[in-house]
Amino acid sequence: MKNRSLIIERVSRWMTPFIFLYGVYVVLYGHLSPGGGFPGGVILSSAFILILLAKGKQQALKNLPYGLAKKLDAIGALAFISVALLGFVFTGVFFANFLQQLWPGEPFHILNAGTIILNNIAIGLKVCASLFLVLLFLSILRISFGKKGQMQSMEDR
Amino acid sequence: MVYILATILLIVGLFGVFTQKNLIKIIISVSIIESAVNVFLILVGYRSGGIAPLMTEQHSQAEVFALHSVDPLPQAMILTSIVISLSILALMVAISLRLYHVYGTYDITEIRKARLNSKS
Amino acid sequence: MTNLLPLMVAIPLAAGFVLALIPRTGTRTCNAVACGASAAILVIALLLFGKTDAYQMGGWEIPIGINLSLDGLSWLMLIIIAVVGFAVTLFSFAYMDTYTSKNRYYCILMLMVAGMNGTALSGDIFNRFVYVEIAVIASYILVGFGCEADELEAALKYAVLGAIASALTLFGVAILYALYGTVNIAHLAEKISSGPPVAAAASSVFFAAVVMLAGFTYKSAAVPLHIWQPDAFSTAPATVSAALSGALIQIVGIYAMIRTMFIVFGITASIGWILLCIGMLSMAFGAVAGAKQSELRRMLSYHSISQIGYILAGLGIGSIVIASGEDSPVAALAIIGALFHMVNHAVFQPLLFLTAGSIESSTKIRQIKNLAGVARKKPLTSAASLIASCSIAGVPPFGGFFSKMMIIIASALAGYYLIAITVVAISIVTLVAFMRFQYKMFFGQEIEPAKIEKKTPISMKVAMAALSVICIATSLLAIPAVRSAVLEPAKEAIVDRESYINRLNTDNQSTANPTNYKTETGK
Repeated sequence: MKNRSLIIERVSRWMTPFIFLYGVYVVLYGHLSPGGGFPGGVILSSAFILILLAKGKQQALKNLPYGLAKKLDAIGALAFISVALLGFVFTGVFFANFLQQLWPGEPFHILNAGTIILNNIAIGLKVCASLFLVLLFLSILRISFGKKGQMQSMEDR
Repeated sequence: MVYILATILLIVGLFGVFTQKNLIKIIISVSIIESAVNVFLILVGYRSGGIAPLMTEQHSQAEVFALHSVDPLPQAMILTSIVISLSILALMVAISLRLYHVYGTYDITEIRKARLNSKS
Repeated sequence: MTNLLPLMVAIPLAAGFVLALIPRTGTRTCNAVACGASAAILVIALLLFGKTDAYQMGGWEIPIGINLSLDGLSWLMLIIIAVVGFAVTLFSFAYMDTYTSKNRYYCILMLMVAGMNGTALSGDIFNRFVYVEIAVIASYILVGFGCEADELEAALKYAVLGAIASALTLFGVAILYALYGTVNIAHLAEKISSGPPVAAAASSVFFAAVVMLAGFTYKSAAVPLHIWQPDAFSTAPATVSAALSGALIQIVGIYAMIRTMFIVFGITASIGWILLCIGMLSMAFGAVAGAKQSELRRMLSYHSISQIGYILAGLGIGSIVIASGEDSPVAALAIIGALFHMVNHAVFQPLLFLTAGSIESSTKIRQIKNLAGVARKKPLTSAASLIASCSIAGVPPFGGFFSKMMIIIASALAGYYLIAITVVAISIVTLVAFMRFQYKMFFGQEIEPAKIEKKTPISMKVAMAALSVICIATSLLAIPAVRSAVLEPAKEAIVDRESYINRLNTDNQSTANPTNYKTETGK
């Protein structure tokens, strides 16, 4: 990973913000247009994965630290469950869309679907963090082909 | 037609799983099987000329929407099943990388040989 | 009370992610959270005793929304999962100290429990598939948890074949959805019982039944598809084998099979015969292959296959009798025997694996022949092991005897004498195998005295003692009054397809009435 192409590095630097922005858009508009938490989260994580591939692990970990990714992973899931539990607390029905009843909103506008947007954000965070972690771990498990059957982590190189 | 397509893909995948020796190829075959099922599910809900299952202001009435759109339920289902296959895939790849770390090969016959040698 | 139902899934799920947040060093906090969550679901499961209900998630009514349904059979599953989950969590306090990252272990265990509870409660086949997948993926990870070469290999084999099995299950769900346009169990049952939509579709329904049966047979490790099980259970951490064999994966596989075959497709003689054949094969194979194993946990896992065979055979006989329209007391006896054996299996099998784990963690003994003299060194562990062995071998005062007896009597009454004789013979083989093992442990000549490297911690002792007490207490289920309170509703849930359909259709207890149409969210 020593000889990185200048072009790749530059282009990925330009691309990353746009990919990220598109991911945020897909997460937030999930209840109105195709998309939602999972696809949006995948796009978000692909921004980080692009950094990981183009600039190496150190740079990627500077953008999304390992500890933060792990926490986001758990917090996203907990947020999803707690939205469901809030429905249970307010209306007595699990997953009830309590925000919608309080504040119906106007159809086909962004603030209309009550808790669904919260769920999408939670799922987006979780998917983004966990996919990034999956790729990170697979890259830590990389095989060095110099010595057969031995594995080195990226720090050893 | 849908049945035939899905069955062919399924058989290709099964064939791959049971004949390939390389762990990575086996994993690829497993994902072919999963795609076969996903393709089947998505085609079940297809309607030729249907719109995306998305309520917009042109189709805000439920009845009008139901007449025009493709079936949204299989799409929600395959989204879930894609997530499941993704997690299984990541897990299998991670495990086979660890196995490579131990045995230095992806070939299952050689792994079995090495394992028997280490036992005896 | 019944609106506590979703908490059965939500509590372990939330606990799992809270555990993932706790740093690796906080093992004490991890223990507390995991123990609290499993105690909470145990309490809720006890509170739900004798209730039947259908619960709509988010207040969406049935054709649109996702529902949970509770009946006698689901309750039986919930209580089994809660008890075994609690015992395993308690045992893990000390046992898992040898492994690093205990928080992740508990996290995955809790996710598995959540998946199991969801499987027991879910009211439509697609969500059942998803819940089974959550549980099964967690179990792949748990099998390979130690990252030793053997464990990884077992886990990979389990995962690859498991992925195929779940793809087949999903294929079955997809076919049913293509034919009937619904995945709700009650609606499917209603539509299937009124015949296929077009005449040509009958073969498709049969195909769906076969692929789903194959998928669930894999999960329950019955014979043609058992190959993952001995490797996985003999290499995984003992708590994991206990959890997987006893209650979790195998029993949940059986449960999913019962629900799909009996409720969705309806009881027919052909399904009964298939179950009976699978059951007899696994019974014979497990006992015979188990008899010649030298490694303790490998022997236990083969016997676990054999015990699953008893359950399937009981269910098979019951459904054959029901399908032929003869007297229902025989069918009831067979099915209650099978359920009783399921309860027994869920208690003695984890207990056996836990005692094996306890012996292994303190003396490093894995082979049966080295067990000699262990009983003097570890009295409580050996007593627990003896109790569980008596139950699995069918020694009279224990629960295993009554359940095996019920299956044998039912098959004799139904006129299948050959099957009854085979079952008796296999029970004797099992008895001999376990007596050999116990004899070795109590009276075996010590070649070299077993070294006790560390004492059994108190949490392990509590877990084993609790399961032993429950193991003895299961024989109380043979008393008709207790049986009718616990097992009768479960049997009714299997046999009575009509009431399942009606319950989901009438119990619309929705409190929130949605006005807008549902928008699909990506999960």
